[in-house]
Amino acid sequence: MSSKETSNRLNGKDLMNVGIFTAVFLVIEIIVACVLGVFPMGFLLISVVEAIILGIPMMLYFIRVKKFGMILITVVINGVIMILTGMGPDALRYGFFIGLLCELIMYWGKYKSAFKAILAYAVFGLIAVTNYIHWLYASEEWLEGQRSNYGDAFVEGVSGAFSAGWVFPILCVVTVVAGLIGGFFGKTVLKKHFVKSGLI
Amino acid sequence: MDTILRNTKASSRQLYLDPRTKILLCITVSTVMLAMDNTGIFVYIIPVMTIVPLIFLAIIKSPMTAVYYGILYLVAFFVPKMIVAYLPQAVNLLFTGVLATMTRLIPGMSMFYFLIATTSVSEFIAAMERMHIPKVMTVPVSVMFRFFPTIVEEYHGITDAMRLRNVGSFRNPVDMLEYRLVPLMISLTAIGNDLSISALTRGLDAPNKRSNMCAIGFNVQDYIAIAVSVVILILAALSMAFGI
Repeated sequence: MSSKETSNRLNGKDLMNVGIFTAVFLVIEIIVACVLGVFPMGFLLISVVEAIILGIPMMLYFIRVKKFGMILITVVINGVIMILTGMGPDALRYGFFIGLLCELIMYWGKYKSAFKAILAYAVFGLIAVTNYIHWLYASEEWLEGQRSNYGDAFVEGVSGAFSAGWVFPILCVVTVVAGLIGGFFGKTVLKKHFVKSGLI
Repeated sequence: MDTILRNTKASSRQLYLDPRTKILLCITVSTVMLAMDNTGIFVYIIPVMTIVPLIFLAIIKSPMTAVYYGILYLVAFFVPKMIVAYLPQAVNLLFTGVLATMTRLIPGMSMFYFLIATTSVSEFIAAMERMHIPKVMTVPVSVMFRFFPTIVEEYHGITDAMRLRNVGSFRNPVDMLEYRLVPLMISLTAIGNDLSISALTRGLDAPNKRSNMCAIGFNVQDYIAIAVSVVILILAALSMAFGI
């Protein structure tokens, strides 16, 4: 076993872990999006709420990550699912770099440091923000094309919400902060339940 | 509980499509719905694209889903137009924009539903192997689809137990999060350990190529579907480049 742990290739057990936690991530992501997405203000808060709720499962995942590539696979699967469900390619395109950044932060802490794991988790939360990129930029052009269909008043009303330039950066910052809170919360809970019972 | 990707063969009863064709159809519908403007030739193609999921949902003999899709789309399409004039500006700003964008998402999501409702896990893996997707992707994806129903099942069990003990209600959100997610994660990691040991015994780590019982391949209907999607994608590319 010891020879296996030192090797950096992903073995079957790692891949199973990736699958399990990606499933948990996607289920929680989709449930939160479906519940909050109905309300217009809640729609903008999806990424923030997600970052807090996902704290517990994802910190458990990030503590188990010991090799390069696992977070990256999670991100890529998430991106492909987003393309197939019709959310556009942004989640894969930008998500890939976010995943790479997470991996680098984890690598910086040698995949052992708990604080670096929290930091990586905060960055990881930005994955959910990538789904907004389409709303903020591309849909404006689309709405211009809709002017003849829907009338002026409608387009004026709708594009106002998307065109406010400060919304997106603020959303990113708030999500990272929420990720830090969620990460610390998750870490505390893990210490309370998992370390005591010897599961980690 | 039924798994999401079904365990049985997707059937010869219905119109059989190769998983790769279904993936291409998914991508075509979502690309056209998301990226294209309602101008030029796409005035005709976009309505067709909204009907495509309806046809496929009707073919797999789930009329309720088809009706649900139709109603959802019609509501998202017509209601904003009708009510927008009577609402205050602030409500329009927040509310109708989301509804209008929903019209673009619903067809893509329905195609994804069609994809996972008609494809078995083995077929899906066989298709991914044919597309030369490496093992580091196929194993997590298949584990993931195996886990979706398990997560739902475990979560229902935990909710029942919590209700029985009268803890973790919505009045106390932080507690609720802790009392529901921690047991869920503990049981899922336990199941995951069992699953990975069982998969290792069946040779998951074996270096040779995996054989597959599912015979997938392209038929006439696949070629028709692929041809139509390719034509539409080329039109989309042309229209993006030259603005037809």
